[in-house]
Amino acid sequence: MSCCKEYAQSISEYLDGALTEKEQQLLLEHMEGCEKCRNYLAELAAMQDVLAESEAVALPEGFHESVMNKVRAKKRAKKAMLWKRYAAVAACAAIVLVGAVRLMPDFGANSAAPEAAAGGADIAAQMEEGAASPAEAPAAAETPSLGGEVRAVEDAVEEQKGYSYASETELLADTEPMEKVESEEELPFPIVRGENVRETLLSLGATELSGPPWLLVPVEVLESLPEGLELVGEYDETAELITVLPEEVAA
Amino acid sequence: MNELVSRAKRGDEAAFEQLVTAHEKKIYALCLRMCENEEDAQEAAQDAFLAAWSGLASFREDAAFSTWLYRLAVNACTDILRRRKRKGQGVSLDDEEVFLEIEDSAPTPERALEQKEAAALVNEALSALPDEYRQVLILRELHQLSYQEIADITLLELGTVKSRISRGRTLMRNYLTAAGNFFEQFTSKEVKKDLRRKRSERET
Repeated sequence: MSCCKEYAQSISEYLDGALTEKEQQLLLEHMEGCEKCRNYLAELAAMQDVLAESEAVALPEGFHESVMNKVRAKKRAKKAMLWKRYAAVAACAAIVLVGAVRLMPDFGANSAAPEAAAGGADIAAQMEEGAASPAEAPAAAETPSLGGEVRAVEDAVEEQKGYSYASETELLADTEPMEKVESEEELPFPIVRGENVRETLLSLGATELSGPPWLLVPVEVLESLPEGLELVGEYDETAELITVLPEEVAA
Repeated sequence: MNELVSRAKRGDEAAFEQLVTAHEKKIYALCLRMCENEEDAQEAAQDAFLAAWSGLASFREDAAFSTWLYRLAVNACTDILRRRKRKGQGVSLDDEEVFLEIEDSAPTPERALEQKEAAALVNEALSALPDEYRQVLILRELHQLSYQEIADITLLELGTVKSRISRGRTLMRNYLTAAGNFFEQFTSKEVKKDLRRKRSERET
């Protein structure tokens, strides 16, 4: 029945109420004289009816909580990053303070200077490693609560990586709104950042997803990003197209 | 809903939670259909919501939030499906093999299928489809989305959406014909009469 092959798509669109009046009229005229097409329509309609009545799916237990926990964990990770920044600033301030004390013997007891200097070196070493627990350094005694906070938050982040939420409710009790999520390691998609990142990726063959910021980027483009663009996070190297979040960073 | 989206965009977690509540069932159902196992479906649905939370700041409110969320979910599912390369599909409904000629389905004198069995059979046919057809048919038949919405979600041309839906239906119909005794009960005289009535109602 070759005629039916021609009409198959019209029949499908007719079923969805998507034909124009004229198209519909043509189809109906054809079907008047074509039993096979009438049967075909009836069969598609039967499938549609049965599918539409397919039972509703129950949400798995704990799904909602799990999503919201991760949303909150993202905020938490952002906070941890902020704390780390504050802590680094505080550590710098401590070093400057120690230096100042050493340079002005009039204001510091002679015996206190070496200790303070040792404390400063300690902090400098920690900063090189990217660590941010100044409270452990004796000279940073001005910020005793900071180190504790940082550790608690880091614990929370650790915990969240392991998807264990045992004590998270308490840990996440204080969550004020914030403007932007920056938790890189928790993003389900990799980030590419740099100047004119969006335009550059598009010019290299990325596709735009209208609406959201995401871009679909061919995997070979990610493998050899041009200079100035940086990839953050992991992606599936076996896929052809990778969903990527571009992040504009001025050079 | 727009108010919720605006609040969530400003980082209001409670507003976002309401959006999750409003959409999670549909999104999970979609993911379950697409991934066909609970573990992957949960992961995909979760990824979709987290991607929404991360990307909300740049979500343009002229687009429908639900369409956007659907797209994130479809993307997440596609990623997962690619990763695990769906293993052996029960019955191959490959492109080449079938656009069968539409032939009269020979009525068989077997007992009528019960509604449950019929549903299981149709679902089997759907799940045997190649992904590109399955995806659009799930959005159309189970989520009742319009062709335009499906095009927006999948980023396919409207024409491609229409032809994939049509082709997917043909493939399913051929599967069911081959499986036997599905159609006769639905294409009996009474059902046909009923369908004609429904159709004329739709037309007026």
